[in-house]
Amino acid sequence: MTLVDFNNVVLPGNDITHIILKGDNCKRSEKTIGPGLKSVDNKIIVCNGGILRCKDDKYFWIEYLKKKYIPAKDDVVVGIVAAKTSEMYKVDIGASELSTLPYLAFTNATKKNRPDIKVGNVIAAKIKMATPFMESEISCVEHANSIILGQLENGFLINVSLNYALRLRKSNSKLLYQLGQMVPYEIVIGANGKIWINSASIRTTIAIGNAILNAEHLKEEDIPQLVKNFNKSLNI
Amino acid sequence: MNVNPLSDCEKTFILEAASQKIRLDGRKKDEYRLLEIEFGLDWGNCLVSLGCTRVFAQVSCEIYQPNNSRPNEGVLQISAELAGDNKLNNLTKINQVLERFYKDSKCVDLEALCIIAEEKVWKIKVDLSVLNMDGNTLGCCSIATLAALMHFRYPDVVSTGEKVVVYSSSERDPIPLSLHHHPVITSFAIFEKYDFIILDPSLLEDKVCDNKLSICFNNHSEMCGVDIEGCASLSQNLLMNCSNQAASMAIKLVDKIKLAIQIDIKNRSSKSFKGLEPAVSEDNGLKLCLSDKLNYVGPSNQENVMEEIDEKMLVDQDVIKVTEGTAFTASHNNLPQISNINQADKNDDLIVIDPESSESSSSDDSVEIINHYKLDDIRPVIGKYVVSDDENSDTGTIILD
Repeated sequence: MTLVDFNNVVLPGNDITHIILKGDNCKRSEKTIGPGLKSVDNKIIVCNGGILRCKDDKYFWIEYLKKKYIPAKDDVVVGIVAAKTSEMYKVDIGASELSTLPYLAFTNATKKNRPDIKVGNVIAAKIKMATPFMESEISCVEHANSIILGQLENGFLINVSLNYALRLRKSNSKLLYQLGQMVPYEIVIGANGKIWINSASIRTTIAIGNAILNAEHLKEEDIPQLVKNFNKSLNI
Repeated sequence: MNVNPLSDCEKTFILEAASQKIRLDGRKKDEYRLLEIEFGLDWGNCLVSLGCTRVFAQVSCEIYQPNNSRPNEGVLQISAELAGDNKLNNLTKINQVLERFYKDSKCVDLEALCIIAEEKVWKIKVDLSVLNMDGNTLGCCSIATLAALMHFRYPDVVSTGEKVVVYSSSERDPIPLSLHHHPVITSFAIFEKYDFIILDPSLLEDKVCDNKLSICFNNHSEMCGVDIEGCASLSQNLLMNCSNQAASMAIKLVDKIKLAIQIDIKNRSSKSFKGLEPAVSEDNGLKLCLSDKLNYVGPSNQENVMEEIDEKMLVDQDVIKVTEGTAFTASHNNLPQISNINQADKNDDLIVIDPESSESSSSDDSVEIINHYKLDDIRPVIGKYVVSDDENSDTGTIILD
């Protein structure tokens, strides 16, 4: 029983209340549980088999393999505008339903000053509301010290698996850092597996996209070799 | 219908790449993707993958009443459908084009399929199911059709006046279809503005390009059909160039199919022939999903990942047994049984919670179940996996589901 711990495999049904709270019931409000964990009857129960992770002794989640994106609040996603109605855009973010983006949900937007976005444009947005029974709502309003949201122009989109996207989003991703030392580029990684890349020329954008796609199943040690190959392909 | 919409980004990017004559996957403009042809256990059963595009073809035959207009000819029917969704309109287009090219070019000797004129003929049905669409679906379908037709054998039939006898394959060897020639379709995508013509377009290139040109050639460099989709005006010169390319490509493709069939017939005589099973289980990424990704999410020291994960699974199973009344209610009924086993042999590595197996395994210590539940083993995850002991084959059967 003691072996159910952080960075270990846990299975659905495991009761992990004792590890997360560590017997401290009064501090319950300070803890946050994420995907794969559920609070039932004052207990915290695992509902997806995977690896238990924690951050700062405050945030807890399970890393598990999934294929379909399920919207979660405060995720940054990349979506494609699929339709336009009188009050909002419908955006395809790869979830089971299109999500809604009101015209007013842009920074500095007013009723007269509408954003100029057409069907087919690519946007980066934050999920504002996600419920299992309704379409999710996204917004492009930028708060202080948030990342830049809104329309993404030029560049190219690639699709990767959800787990890989989450891995890349970690700030200590070696690959993105090392690629950045070779060439300057812009990147937006959506939690829904869509990645937008832009750089000075077409050739570099393609090379960066391929490097990111190829690195999915590589181990950490092989990444420098990949970056070396990437640099060679740039010079041709 | 929920097809991934095409974004402006991708469109402008590909057009810009076309203006610089670059393709996204680094291929040259006249380069085909990797073509793989695998045959199944049955005759006329093949899986063709062209890059990520995969098409599965199955040829079947039945005895049928002929059309009134052609009383002494067999019938050829080709139908393609998308696995899971048959409402996509470009598949009806593929159906039409394939039927037109393969029927009108008269590659299959239909008169040889006649058993009794005006009464009984063979009907040959080619069923294509598109498993994955990643561009050049038409070309891949045509390769699958041709390979399946060339590979197919139909049972021998003897008609003695009023009686028709159909021999099974054990009695007489089935007969291959007689094909006059081998037509195969080569697809081009044309970016008219930039004078950029590419062979074997990928899905994005397929969506963005101005024109799609499909030319059907056989292995004798004879044209069997042309299909143009789009509105650009093509010059005579360009069409001639494309058809020359298509002719040389068709010869290569047909040679490849013939080679694959030869290898398959050679393999068929050996006992270890397994049909499509290895191709399906190894190539479609199941293995990658199970081993590589778990390698990553597992503990960081890579040396004994598998053993460690196995260990943890074991430990967690122990936990489940101890904590009753958690969400693991499905196994609740089995808990008494399992605890019995635990008392019987506590050191035994038991990992399976299975009502059928638990009794037999408690009586039979020699069945080592844990060895068969490794994470890199694919089969237990896909379907049933039977572990049987030689001596006690009636009791020692364990099914992991």
